[in-house]
Amino acid sequence: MPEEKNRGVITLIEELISDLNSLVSEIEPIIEQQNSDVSTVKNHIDFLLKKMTNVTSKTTLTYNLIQSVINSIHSSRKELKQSVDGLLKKTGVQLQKITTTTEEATNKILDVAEKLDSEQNLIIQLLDEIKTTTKSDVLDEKVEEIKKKVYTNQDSAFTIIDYLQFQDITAQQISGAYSLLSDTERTLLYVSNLLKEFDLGDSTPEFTLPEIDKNAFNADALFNDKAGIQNLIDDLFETGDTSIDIPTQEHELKLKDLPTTHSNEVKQDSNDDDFDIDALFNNNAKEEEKTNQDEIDKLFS
Amino acid sequence: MASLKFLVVDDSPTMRRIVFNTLKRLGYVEIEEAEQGAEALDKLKTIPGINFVVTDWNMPVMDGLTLVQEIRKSAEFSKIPILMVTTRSVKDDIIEAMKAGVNNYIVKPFTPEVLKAKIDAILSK
Repeated sequence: MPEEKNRGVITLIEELISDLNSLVSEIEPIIEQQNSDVSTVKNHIDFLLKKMTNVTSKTTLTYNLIQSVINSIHSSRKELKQSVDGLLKKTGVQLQKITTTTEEATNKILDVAEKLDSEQNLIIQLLDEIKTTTKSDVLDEKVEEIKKKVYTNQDSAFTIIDYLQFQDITAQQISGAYSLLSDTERTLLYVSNLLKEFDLGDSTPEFTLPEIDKNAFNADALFNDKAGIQNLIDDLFETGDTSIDIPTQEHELKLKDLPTTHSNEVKQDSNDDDFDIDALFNNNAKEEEKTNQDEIDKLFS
Repeated sequence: MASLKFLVVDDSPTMRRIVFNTLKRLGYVEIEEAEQGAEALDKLKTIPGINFVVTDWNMPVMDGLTLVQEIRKSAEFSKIPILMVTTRSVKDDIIEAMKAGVNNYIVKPFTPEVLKAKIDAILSK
């Protein structure tokens, strides 16, 4: 019955109900007709038999259609679970690995930077000892020159430490991605569970990504120059004026609003509109901060 | 320089280490650390002399905002200066922190100059 195959399960079931109803309505008068002759009854029974055969074939077709729907749902659920257990879980684990790896690397860099700092202190000590034990103006001059260089190196070591804040910020961004993944997983598993009744007895245990505390990270964390937004926050704290406009997204803060004087030059060389790392730790920031401090002092005094 | 004993509260060990280093660079030597708010409250109660709290906002178990509220509620530590150092820069968050009782607020990433400026500003009040 190729045409019937295209008619859909609901239509077939509706026809089945209608056929059964008409059968009942036909059988009823026959039963009631006690006086009818044998041939009439036989004709009726033949007719009923034909109808019953037709109903049976429709029922079989309906059953096959329902079975194929169940198979399709079952395979969809299986694929859904494979996606959750495979793709999503692997991606989640991978994201956690990135955080662990950057944290380990950052700590190693911190070890080196801290060692550099303490070595520089030792060098300064040694230089001072030389100065005290050997009295010579020329030597003193040279020692002071070396000490200047050492201090510059020490500043560089500190700058490395400052830059390493990127790890905390990227870790929060990664946690945000992980949390989205975890939410997606839960939604998919919910949908999958709704279809559980269609399992064919081969259900496998479901895995879920470990939950992450949503208070433990800020998915909107950005590693960029915060001088502009920090100024606005300072104003807010100093004046208590809550009408001060603080942009929702850091990138909405236009470059002209940033206090670092070299920002424009740096930006021209940069392809990334959201990122201005040089401005972040620019040496001129001290001057800018001084200006901000003046304002702070005024407002906090 | 006034004798300050800091409590640095951040769930990121990297960040704690960076703040620790920055404070040391600024000349502060007494620095305690806690991973989250509840641990910070414990340390405040058990380690004598802590008189300045630098806290992150987003932390598991007890976040920074709750920590600030708890400190402000406590009779013993209600006056302790609190500096919040966080990545959160949404205005509503900043106002919430302000209302909770933080003395000043820094958005990460920060420079040592900004940290110094905010500590000085708090102490000068």
